[in-house]
Amino acid sequence: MTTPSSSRQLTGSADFILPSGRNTIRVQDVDFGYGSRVVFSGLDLTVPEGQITAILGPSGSGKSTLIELMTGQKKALRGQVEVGGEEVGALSRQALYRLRRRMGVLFQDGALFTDLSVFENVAFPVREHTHLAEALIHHLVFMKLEAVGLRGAHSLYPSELSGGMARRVALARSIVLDPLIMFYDEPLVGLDPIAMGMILRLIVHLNRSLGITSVIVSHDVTEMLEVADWCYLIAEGRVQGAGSPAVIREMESPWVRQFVSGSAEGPVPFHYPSREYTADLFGKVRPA
Amino acid sequence: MRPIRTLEVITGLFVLLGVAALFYLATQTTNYRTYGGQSYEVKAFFNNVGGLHVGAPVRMGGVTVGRVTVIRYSMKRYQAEVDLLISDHYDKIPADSTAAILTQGVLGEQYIGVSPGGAPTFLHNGSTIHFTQSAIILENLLGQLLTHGGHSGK
Amino acid sequence: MRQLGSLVRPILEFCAALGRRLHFLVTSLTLIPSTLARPRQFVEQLFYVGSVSVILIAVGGLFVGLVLALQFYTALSRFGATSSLGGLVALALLRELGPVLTALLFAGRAGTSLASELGLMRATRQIDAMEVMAVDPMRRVVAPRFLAGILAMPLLAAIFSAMGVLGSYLIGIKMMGLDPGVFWSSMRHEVRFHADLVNGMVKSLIFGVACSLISLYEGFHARPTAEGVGQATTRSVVISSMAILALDFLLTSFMY
Repeated sequence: MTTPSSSRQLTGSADFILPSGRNTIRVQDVDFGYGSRVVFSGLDLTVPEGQITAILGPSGSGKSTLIELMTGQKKALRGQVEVGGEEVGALSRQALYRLRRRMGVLFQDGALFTDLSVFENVAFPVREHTHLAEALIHHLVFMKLEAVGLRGAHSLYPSELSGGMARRVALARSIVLDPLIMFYDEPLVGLDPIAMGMILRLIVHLNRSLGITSVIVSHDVTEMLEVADWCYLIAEGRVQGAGSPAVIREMESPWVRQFVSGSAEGPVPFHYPSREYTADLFGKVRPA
Repeated sequence: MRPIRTLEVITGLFVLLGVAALFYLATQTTNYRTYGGQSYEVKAFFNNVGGLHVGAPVRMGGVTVGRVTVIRYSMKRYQAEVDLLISDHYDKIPADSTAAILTQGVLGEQYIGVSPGGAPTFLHNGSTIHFTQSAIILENLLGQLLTHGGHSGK
Repeated sequence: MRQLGSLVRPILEFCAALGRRLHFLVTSLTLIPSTLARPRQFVEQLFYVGSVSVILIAVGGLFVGLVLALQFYTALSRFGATSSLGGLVALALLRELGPVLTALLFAGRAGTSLASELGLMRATRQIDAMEVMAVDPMRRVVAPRFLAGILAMPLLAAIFSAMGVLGSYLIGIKMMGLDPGVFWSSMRHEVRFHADLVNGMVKSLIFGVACSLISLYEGFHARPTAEGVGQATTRSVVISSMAILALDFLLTSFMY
């Protein structure tokens, strides 16, 4: 499948050749923004095939937008986003839909269909894309629910699920048609440590046993450095650092140090830019 | 067998109710019954049509069989000429039937009542009803009663 | 030049907004055959759009019929023409009040629920989830609701008018003691099948297209926040109501 992880951790230099193939994602010199707000400028990164790639960055750094660019929900203003050599932004709707059938996306809050039961949520992609017999759909759905440990919850509705359970159901739904690439959008946000551990275990398990190319967007640095094979640090629209977790931990850039250690002191200031504190306290009262 | 879903049953009921309402409106509140379908036209001449107007029903034994399409004054016969459109369902009306202008209730709508005769031939498109009875004009009737004489209009 | 730009820009923006809605309409219409191929979703939506509005529409129609009959009876008795009550009420209902009031009630009941449902699906990223599953949300979500809205509207309008006729019957005959024969025959006398009933239903069908389109568009393109969903719902009622009244004027002047 891939190189053993021990050999990978020794290398982190730029000339390391990442495993590539049909499911490699290349982002080259991409600009993106909303109106006057710039999200990315000259973003370059490569997601290697068959590995877990973590894309780390502070909130509001456009990490989720990056997933939308890779799935073709948004188009880059400049540059290319390629999946397995196909340029996502240039595909016709049909070709894009064909490409998306190789992909699975786990949304931040699961995005389960609220009017469908857990079973029907997981069965949804199967019913939409295949004409399998009801018995076969039943087996398929129960296999995936078993994989996420929620076979017993098949008749519940999304409103009856806890956050962690909802996310596991959503995971079952996104893997029901066996995608080759999985995107995880902030998979750990708002979860308790136990649910967090379960999701992480599932992500790793899916990658190791099926070789699914996995992209995780997150700001939970500690957890990601543990499970990822390869990491990118993104801030201010650019890649600030790249490498295996070991390399990231050793990086000397003060920004990376602050982000990885999670300290309040560093190049990213605690205070929002303002005038002198004393001026605000003892000066004239500012109009609201 | 697939289980019957309540939702589908209620939706079916809704559609039935809507169609029934439409059917009710069409048959009870409009001239639909005598409007559509095949029909034929016959003529009748009256001395006086009273308050009859276009669209008034033509009835036999109280059942609407057609309606009045045209009312004009014939300068040849110096009589009111009325065209009646009669549904093809009623194509065996004897040729010697009588048409009378009657009033529904005391002061209600006027309509044409047809009483069947006994002839072996039937009315067809373009034929004329020869035996007619004009509208009863209340003033004339009162006048005749007061003078105890004269002859009633044919 | 700049002043010209600020003058032209709103016009261009209006054209673009109209164009986007037209595109939405055409896309929904072209997807109708694929909706009919999977009738289950369509039947489900017909329930949520049509069946749930029946009570409201029936009660509304009954009261409008009662009020119309009372008002017309008072007015007609001044001319000694109460025998035309049935015809007048039926004409008012079939030609005008049935289609228009049904559409306005529909915009408030079914239209808002369509807009908020789609807005919520947008806000909770269910529409995005479909999109990345390679399932076209226009086909899966919008088209069945659109078709259900178009079909439900004339049926609801028919129920509204029928209940209105019933209401006028209660006032005219049961309360005011008019002769039933006179009442019903004046109706059949005055109301023409094609010019009145069929045209009224055509009106209602067009209101159905407009109302569903506006509600679905506003919901589908709602900003993905709680506030956005609320705004989309409000906009759907406001725009639908204005569209219904404006269209009613246009259609009436063309038809009659």
